[in-house]
Order: sequence, then structure tokens, then C-alpha cells
Amino acid sequence: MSRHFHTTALVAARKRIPPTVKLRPPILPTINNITVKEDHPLWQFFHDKKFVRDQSEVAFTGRAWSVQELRRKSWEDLHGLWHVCLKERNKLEREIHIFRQQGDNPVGGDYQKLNEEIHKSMWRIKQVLTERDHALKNAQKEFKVNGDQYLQEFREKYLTAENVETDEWYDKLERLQQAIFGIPELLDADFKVDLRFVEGVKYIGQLKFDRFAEQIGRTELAPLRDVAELYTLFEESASAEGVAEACAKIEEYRENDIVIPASKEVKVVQGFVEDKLESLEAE
Amino acid sequence: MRSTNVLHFQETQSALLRRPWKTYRDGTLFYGMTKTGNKRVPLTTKQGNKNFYKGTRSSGIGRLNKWGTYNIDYQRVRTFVAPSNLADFNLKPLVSSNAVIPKNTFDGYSSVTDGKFLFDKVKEYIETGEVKHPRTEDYIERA
Amino acid sequence: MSKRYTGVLERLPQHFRDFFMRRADQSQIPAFRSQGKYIPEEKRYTRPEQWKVLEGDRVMFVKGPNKGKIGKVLGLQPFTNSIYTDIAETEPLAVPRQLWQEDQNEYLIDYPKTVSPDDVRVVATLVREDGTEYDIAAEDVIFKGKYFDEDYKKMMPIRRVKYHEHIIIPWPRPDPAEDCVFSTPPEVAEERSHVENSILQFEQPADFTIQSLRDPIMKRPYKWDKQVLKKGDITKLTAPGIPYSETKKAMFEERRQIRESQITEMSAEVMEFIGSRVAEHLNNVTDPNFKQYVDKVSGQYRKQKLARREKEKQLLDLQIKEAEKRNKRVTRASAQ
Repeated sequence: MSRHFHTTALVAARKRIPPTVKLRPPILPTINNITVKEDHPLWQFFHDKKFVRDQSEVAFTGRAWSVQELRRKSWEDLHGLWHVCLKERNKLEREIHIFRQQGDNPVGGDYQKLNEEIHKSMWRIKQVLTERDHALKNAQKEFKVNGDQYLQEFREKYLTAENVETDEWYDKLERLQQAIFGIPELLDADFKVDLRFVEGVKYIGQLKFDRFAEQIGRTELAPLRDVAELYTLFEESASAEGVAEACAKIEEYRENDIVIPASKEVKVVQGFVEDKLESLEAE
Repeated sequence: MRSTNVLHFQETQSALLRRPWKTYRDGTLFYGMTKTGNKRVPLTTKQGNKNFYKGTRSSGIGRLNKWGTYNIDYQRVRTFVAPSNLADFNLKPLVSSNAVIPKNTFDGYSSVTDGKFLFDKVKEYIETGEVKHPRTEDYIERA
Repeated sequence: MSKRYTGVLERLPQHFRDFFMRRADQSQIPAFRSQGKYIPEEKRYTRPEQWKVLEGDRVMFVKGPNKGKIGKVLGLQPFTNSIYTDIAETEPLAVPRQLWQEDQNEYLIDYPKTVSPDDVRVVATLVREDGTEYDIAAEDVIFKGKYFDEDYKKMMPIRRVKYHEHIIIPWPRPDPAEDCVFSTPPEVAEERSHVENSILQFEQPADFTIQSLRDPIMKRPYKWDKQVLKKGDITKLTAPGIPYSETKKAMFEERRQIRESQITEMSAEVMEFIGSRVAEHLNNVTDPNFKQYVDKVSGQYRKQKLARREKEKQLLDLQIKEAEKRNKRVTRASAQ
């Protein structure tokens, strides 16, 4: 802090307007002096950049989405619909707030009615998502009880089918992997292998072997010893040539005399998947 | 206490329009609700003593540091995930009243959340793949 | 009325609610008063079965100065469960200048009164065999069966005249509704984009949890909710009784044995014996009145009665079918 008393004059001198500056008339504060960017995000709270809409503009004849209709819509549609509803309600809530501040109710109450109707659509979206979540959980419980039986039935159908080297059966296997074991068609870079994935690998590998082993004359390889062998089968296509190729690899692998224990299966399969992804990337 | 004289005013329509006991200070008629009633309502931001700070239920997303500037903690800031398909999105907040509300049936199942219901549908999907159901008169939808 | 009460009006007991509504009304001019009785939301009519009449119906008044006249329903007023009609009574209503309509130049206007649907009777037009038309007013209507209505776009109950169920009163045709700017067209709304293709997860992002949809605190019991003990709570709160002594257990066992040793079903011999004694007695009856009574309670009489009823029912069904045909013919003719 300064210890002198003579600073005021210095400061005043600094603030003195130099004679070169030309004085202009003052700018009156009016709304016309304010310009707002065309793409200002807050415009999303206004319909058509209007202060409030007319009564006729909020008149509506439709009804809220019913739960039955929303059950047909995918996650993306529901997400989009929620967003659309939210934006519309933002506008309405703003307008209702303005009416309330002025001390009178919105004429006829159509603003409030429309707001409530859209709110109905929104809670029904939540309802549908909750239903789906519960259904998934219950289906997984159901799978624990009756899943083995279903997989056994599918296996029997696959083994007794006339010809499984068709597009129809390839697609079926693909869908089964996806739906029951969560094995996607294309793997992400950071895919995490879990127990269910390993189960799927085992099931599909064994299925292919049982179907084609006799046909290509490699029954001597049974029983398959560990998850590495099953993964080799799982990787190859579900045809006689594919299985033959896998069998050749298995024979080669057996010379090592390594058997992977059950506790390390997830880790090993994770390694296989990462190797595969790397090789794909290199290509 | 109410005066009988006052109550008589309600008996005719014109007297009701000229309610001398219900006016604003400048003499214009007051058509609002009663002026009497409960006065014990929540305090506003302008009331209370120097220690009363009524928040706005906003913020709380950071802390003031010792120099008095507000440091925002971005972990606490609300974020909204906007859908990616908004540009060509054709669903609107309401449905036309000409649309028929479909009827869902759960015959043989307890409800829409029945595990067996979804499992059976998934089995069907594995067998047939995605099927586009034709829009016919007699098609009954199972949710 | 303060905001504190209006906010929770629906939750207040009935007499409190009435009191506040009345008090609010008292301090109002008629233009602002709630017309008619306030009806809470859960008691408002929503279904056509409750209304019994819909917009466009012809009705006969059975009460008030218009008693006996036939009018038309112009609309429904859900918050009082009453209907607007074209020849309704009017009452003078003073309107403050702020609320004047565009073509209004007086304080007093004639405001139409609404009537309860119980005070009107639905009028239907029937056709005689020779082609002449005549009106009937149904004392009461009942609803049996449902059909899909193309104009209302939903299932509607079939409206019939009570005690004359073969007479069907068709619902009036509603005005076609146009889509507003907020509504999705029907063909877009009914498109299916969701496929149940997995038991593990649908297409939602992996970090989405259902718990994030709702605030967990929202579901907590509210402090003013009625506290009700459930069956499970009572069992938990009740202290266990003193265990039975050996003597009592022995007594229960003895009672059980006695109960089991009782004969509950009649043997064939006993039945034969009782039957023969009763038959002997009935065959020796000489009083003609008593004989008639015995005939009446016998199985034969009951069979005849059932057959007669069945016949009557078939006849009624036939009549209803014929009436339906006739009504269809009338509607087709009127459409042309």
C-alpha cells in the first residue's frame, strides 16, 4: 500500500479524458440494441423464436402415446421420443411460467393440458423400459431353469437335420450365439469375455464337432479335452471343411500336452479374442 | 365476523359486480380469491434475518476456493445424452387420435414381464429371425 | 384460500374439501364460480357405459321445464359429469369486463345450464314393417357385447334398451378428427422397431441401469399416507403362543381319531332302506293337494321347467337377431 497522500491527484490525472476523445450521444438501453445469435442454445426454449405462442398454436387433437404402442419401439426411438417430449415441455413450462407471473391462468388451460398429456407419454416410456428390464431379468431366471432343455433340443435338431451347411442354419447358429450367450457378430476392441461367452464357445464347438466328426472321419479326437480345442472349432465355419481344418489344428495342439484348467478358461479365451482382434487390425 | 349487510350484496348480480368491500387501494375492483386465510407460508428469499440464506436448489456442482472463485467439479455437472438420430426423427410427442391403440394379449403367461414370455419370443427369433408382421385385420399382437 | 391448502386439496377428506370449495365459491362472483358440483377426478365419467349418451345423441328431457321435449347432446362436461344440450335452460350470468367475448356488449349473458345424463332419455328411431319410422325413448339402457367402431377407433359397447334387448340404439357418429402439429401419424406410430432378440440385453447402452430412471427417494412412504398393517406385519408383531402341553396334544390326537371314525357317507343299504320307506309313504298319499306338491318338487317337474325356459330363451335370441337385421337395414337405408 502506498504511504503517500498525494496519489489522488495522480489517479485523477490518469482518469482525465484526453481532449482528443470525441463525445458521442449516449446509447439508450433498449431491447433493439441487444442482438442474440441465431444459433443460441436458449432458443430451444422458444417456439419459432416467439415470446409466447397463441392459444390456437397449442390446440391439440392427439392423445398421449399408449404403453402398447411404445412396446413396439426400439431403444433409439424411445430415447429420441423422450428428447422430443422434453424439448416441447421446456417450451410449454416456460410459457406457463410467464402466464403465472402475469397473474392469470393460460386462456382455456390448453398449455397445461398439453403439458400433462406429453408428461403421460414420458412416464409411459419409463414404464416400458422398466418392463423390458424386468422381462430380461425374469428371462434369465427362466433360462437357468429350462435353458439346458432348450439347448439340448436345439442340439438334437442340429444333429438330425438333413443338411446344415445352408445359410438358414448358419444364421440360426449366429442368432443363437447372440441371443443366448451374448456373442456378438462383430467384436469390439475392448470386448470383455465372461463365463457365458465361454459357455457359448463350448456349446457351439462341441455342436460342430458332433455333427461333422463322423463325416470327416476324425472321431478318434473325442472327447475334446479343453476350451482351447473347443475355441478352435468355434472359430471355424460350421461346415465339413471348417471342422476338418480345426481338427488338424487340434492334432497339432495336442502334441504340447497342455490342458487348460477350468479356472483359467475365461482368461485364455480373452487372450484368444484379443489375438484375433489384433490380427484383424493388422490386415 | 361477517356482517349480514355484506352478505346481502351477494344476492343480486349487479351488486356482486360492484363489491365495495373488495377493492384494490386505487379503487379498482378485486376479483381474486379471499384476502383472509393462512398467513403461515414458507419464507421467500427476501425474508428472514441476515443468517437466512434460501438457496435456489441449483448449483452444488463445485466449491468456492480461498480466493473466492468458484471451481466447478465436472463430475457433478449434469449431462444429457442427446439421441443421435434427432435430425430425421419423425416421432412426435403425441399420437394422432385416429390411431387405434393395439391390444396386447398374454395368453398362457402371467404378464408382459413373465420370463417365459420373453424366452419363448427369443426362441422364436432364433428359429425365424426378424419377421415383419403384415398389417392385417385379424393379426393379434403379443406385445 | 392459501396455496398451502390448494396444493393438497385432492388429499384432504371430503368434508374439508367441500368446505374449502364452498368458501372459495362464496368469495367469488358467479362468473368465476365452479359451475355445479365439483366432482373429484376418480369419480368423473370416462367410459361411454357411464355416460350412456354421447355427443350427437337425441335425448328426451324427463325433468325441469323442458320435460317431454326432445333435444340433442352438444357435448360432455367431464368435471361435473353432465351434458350440454341444444334446448337447455339458461341462467343469467354477470361477466366482468375483462372476460368479455368479442361480440359481447353487456355484462349479463345467458349461460346454458348443463343437465345430468340421468335426467334425459335416449331417443332412437325404429322402422315398422311397412317402412314408416317412429321414435322411442328408452327408459334405461344396458350394455351387452362389444364391437370395434371404425369412427371412434376403439371397442364400443353395444347399447340396448333395457328389458327390450333386441332393440339396439347405435352410437352417434363423431366428427372426424384431424391431426394436429403435435401428433404422430398413425402409420408411423404403429411401425415396429423393437425386436426381442436376446435374453441378456436389448440395444440400450451398457451403462444404462433401470435404477437411474427414477429417484429412489420418490417411492418412500409419505408421512401423511394412511398407515395400514398388512397380514404379514400382524404375524410379525404377534407374539408366539405358549406351546401345547402333552395332555393337550393327546386330546387333539384322540379327537382326530374320533373324527376319522365317524361315518360321513351313506352306505348303499342304508340309502336303499330310507328310499323304500319314503317311497312307501308317498305312494300311500291320498290328499290331492299334497300329491300335487309332491309332483312339483319331484325331478320330473324341474326337467319340464328347464325345457320351457330354454325354449323361451331361444325365442328371445331369435327376436334379437331379427331386430339386429332390421336395425342394420335402417342404418344402411339412412346412409344411402
